[in-house]
Amino acid sequence: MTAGDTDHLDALEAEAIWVIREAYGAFTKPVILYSGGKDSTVLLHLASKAFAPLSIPIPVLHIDTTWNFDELIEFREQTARKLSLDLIVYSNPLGVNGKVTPFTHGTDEYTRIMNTDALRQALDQGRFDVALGGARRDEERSRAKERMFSLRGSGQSWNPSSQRPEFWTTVNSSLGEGQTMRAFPISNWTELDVWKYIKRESLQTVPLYFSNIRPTVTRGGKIIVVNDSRFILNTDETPVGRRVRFRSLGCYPLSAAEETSAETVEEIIQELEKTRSSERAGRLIDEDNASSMERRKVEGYF
Amino acid sequence: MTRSHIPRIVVCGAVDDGKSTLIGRLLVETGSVPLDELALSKNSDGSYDLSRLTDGLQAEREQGITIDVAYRYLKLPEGNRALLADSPGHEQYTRNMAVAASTADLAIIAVDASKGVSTQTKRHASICQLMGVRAVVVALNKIDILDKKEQKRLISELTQEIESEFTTLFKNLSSNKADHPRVVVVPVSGGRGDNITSAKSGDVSLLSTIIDELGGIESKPSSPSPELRIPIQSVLKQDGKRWYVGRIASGSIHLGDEVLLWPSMNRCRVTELTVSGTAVNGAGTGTSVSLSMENDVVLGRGDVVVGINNNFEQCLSRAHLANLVWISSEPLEISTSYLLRVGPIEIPVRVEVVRYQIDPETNLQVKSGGLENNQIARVEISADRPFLLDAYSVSRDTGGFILCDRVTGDTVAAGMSISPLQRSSEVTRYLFEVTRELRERQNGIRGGVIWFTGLPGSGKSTIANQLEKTLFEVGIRSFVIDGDMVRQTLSSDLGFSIEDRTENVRRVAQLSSLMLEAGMVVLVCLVSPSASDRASSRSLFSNSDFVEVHVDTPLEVCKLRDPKGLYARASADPSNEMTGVGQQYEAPADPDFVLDGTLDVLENCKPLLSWVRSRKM
Ligand SMILES: Nc1nc2c(ncn2[C@@H]2O[C@H](COP(=O)(O)OP(=O)(O)O)[C@@H](O)[C@H]2O)c(=O)[nH]1
Repeated sequence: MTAGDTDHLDALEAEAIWVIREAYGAFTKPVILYSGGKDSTVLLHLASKAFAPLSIPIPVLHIDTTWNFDELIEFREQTARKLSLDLIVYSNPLGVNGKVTPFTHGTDEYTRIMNTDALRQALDQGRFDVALGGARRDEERSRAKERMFSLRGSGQSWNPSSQRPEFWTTVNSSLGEGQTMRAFPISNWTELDVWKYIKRESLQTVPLYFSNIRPTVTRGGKIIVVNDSRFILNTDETPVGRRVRFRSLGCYPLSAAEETSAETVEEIIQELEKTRSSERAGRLIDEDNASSMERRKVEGYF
Repeated sequence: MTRSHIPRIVVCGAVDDGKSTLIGRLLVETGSVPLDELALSKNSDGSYDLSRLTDGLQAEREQGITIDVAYRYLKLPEGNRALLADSPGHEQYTRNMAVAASTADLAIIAVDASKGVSTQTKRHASICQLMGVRAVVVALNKIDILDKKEQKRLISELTQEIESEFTTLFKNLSSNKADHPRVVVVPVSGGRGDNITSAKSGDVSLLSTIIDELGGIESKPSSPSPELRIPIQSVLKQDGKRWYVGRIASGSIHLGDEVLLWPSMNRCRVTELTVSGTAVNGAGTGTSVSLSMENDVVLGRGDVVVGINNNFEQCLSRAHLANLVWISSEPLEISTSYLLRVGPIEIPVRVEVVRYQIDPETNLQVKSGGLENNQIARVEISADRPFLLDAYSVSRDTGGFILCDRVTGDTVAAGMSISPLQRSSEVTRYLFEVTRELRERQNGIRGGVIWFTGLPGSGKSTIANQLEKTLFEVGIRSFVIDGDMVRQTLSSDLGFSIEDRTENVRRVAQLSSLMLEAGMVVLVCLVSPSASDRASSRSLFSNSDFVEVHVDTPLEVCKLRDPKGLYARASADPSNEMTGVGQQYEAPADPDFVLDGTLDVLENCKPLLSWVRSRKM
């Protein structure tokens, strides 16, 4: 670590805690969006700091596409117990019983139904007026454009060309009919910041982030981990054990793994300090076209 | 526990001056862009369109313009980094540029070397200054298209032009040099990559690069406000105990400190202090803290914890002077209620007066009573009760505010507080533009107040009369305020009790002050026997504008002169409150001039004349 790191993490932490408290103080029904991944892990940790010594007074929502890695679900349950979370798990009824799957539907359609629609349904049902998410500006170029407090119109839609201005540390928390707010406490964190913070705070994460021998197939140059028997193998495919890890976790059939040897947080940090590829390079859902993330966000995605 | 600061840089420039290309180049050359993202910017012919790195919205790429701010980290040498806020150039997106500048420490402004400073460039520089950006690096861009032979001369001319245009602009907004951002001009080519991260030798001996300049500028606030301000965001209740949580906007706090709570104005002691759930002894600016207090004080969201020793009351007022950037398509409605927000503080306010608009292309004042989208103005804002606003130049987080429409909830303006307006009544004073300074310049001489004090009959009026005649002859405007004249007019309701005399002196002092504003040399002839009355009169003026003249004539001589028969009447009536007889005259301890009232009048005028003459401009 360079000398400045700890101070930068302190500054980022203070800013994130400010956002979390603002979401809690200025709105009536906040919810934390939780995916089980590293960003969500950091977000929850920041929330517990923001409200210490109390436990987190905000419910935590997991949109379960039903195609998550088993290890992630296990980790989610552990975390909920450890932090005494008020955990809500929601899945779009359309996807239960295997009606909508990454194998039967195109990536775009699947993501819209199982992520975006599910999120919209869950937020509407819970009548939440602010949803805290762990998105970061360095993830993707349309995210780089988003405010820390981002207004959503009816149907959770985002209007990127006419965002509510955001000045200093003053949030305009006024909401009109049908409007809600998204808040992004770790907007200004990078992937490297997240891992340095995980190290500094000795946080547990899903083991999938660390390299291990896992059953894999390769498709279109990407390494996919075969999580369970629902994975439909092509006739010429047999899973092969490879030493891989994930930089970003989504639905397992749509998340590409990387062949690396990083088995510890330190090694991940070393790896990231050298790498020249982005974390979302491993997300299959981002490949469809150059504006796919923006379009999904306009529709109400995380 | 002071937090280290990640500098923020707003990047702007007139449309097509090459801002997006420049940012792309900066990001690529510093290794701030992942390669797969860079691949997205590849044109079909294999070249790169670096502007696509930050124009992250579909609409932006389609229209080829920047609409809203993109935030991206820029890697700097030695493990440092800065958060770049790429902002739009079009006037219609001024609000987004203001958003980016509001939190920026530095600015990079791209200027096309073949076109020079445009009105948009000036607009951006003005907004940077208005929003408190401390330094501007001007990227004099596209130097590759300048004629090779002429390059050196052209660059030096353009640099001078930019420096002088910016200096004029900054001066027009504020005469205070501390409010002027530093300006550095760096000749570059974003397209070719000259002087972005490494100096390219060409025909020009180029001294530095953008990266050098960014590294060289001190980005931390030069003098952070020491005044404690913790706006309370929320209250957490734990088994009857309350935790007040918020972020320290300025100053620092320690365990056991006695603090003041606004608006209740209660004092109390901090009994527990935690940062991120850990107990600490103290915390500084920028830290998110949790506090608990002794006693049963009750605080709510929007209350503010302030220090007891600082000049907090001076920041409280029903009315504040501010600069306002209007960002709504609905124009300002004077005297309509808006919701003012500063952090968690919410106050219903009205904009009472638009003093003038500020033209961002020149920073000159423009007469106007209204305010529309993308316009900037100096305004007076008021509420029904005193509210807290710090000077924006001292603290952005507690001096910057937004105004929200109370019906739609939209943010309609961003404001930067200048100072509270302290005044004795609810009357809002209009600030007239012909000032004392202008009048004095026209007169060629500074006004002043010569305050004659002395016993009745000492010769005050005689000397003042002679002095005024001489001034009149040489064309210096003056006016005598004589005690007897005031008694018959302005103070005809007053008697001669101690209270009434004090009030009389106060009125004369205020009148003199108004006449001084009018640019006059004011000669006051007033017995003014009370030293404390004279002292409070003097306190209205700056030291250089006011002289006290003691016309020192023995009581016996005054009695003999008795031009108005006052002493005669007083000795006939022992209950008379006449000074020198019934009331004590307190001679000045340290007057500016002492004149012997028994000497020649012309002689006595001489020192006063030379004081007046010394004020020629
Ligand atoms: N010759 C030259 N052209 C440039 C340079 N930088 C940008 N341009 C061109 O100027 C135009 C506007 O550039 P762009 O970066 O989109 O400008 P923006 O509107 O300020 O973001 C494009 O045609 C660029 O190719 C440069 O350094 N040299």
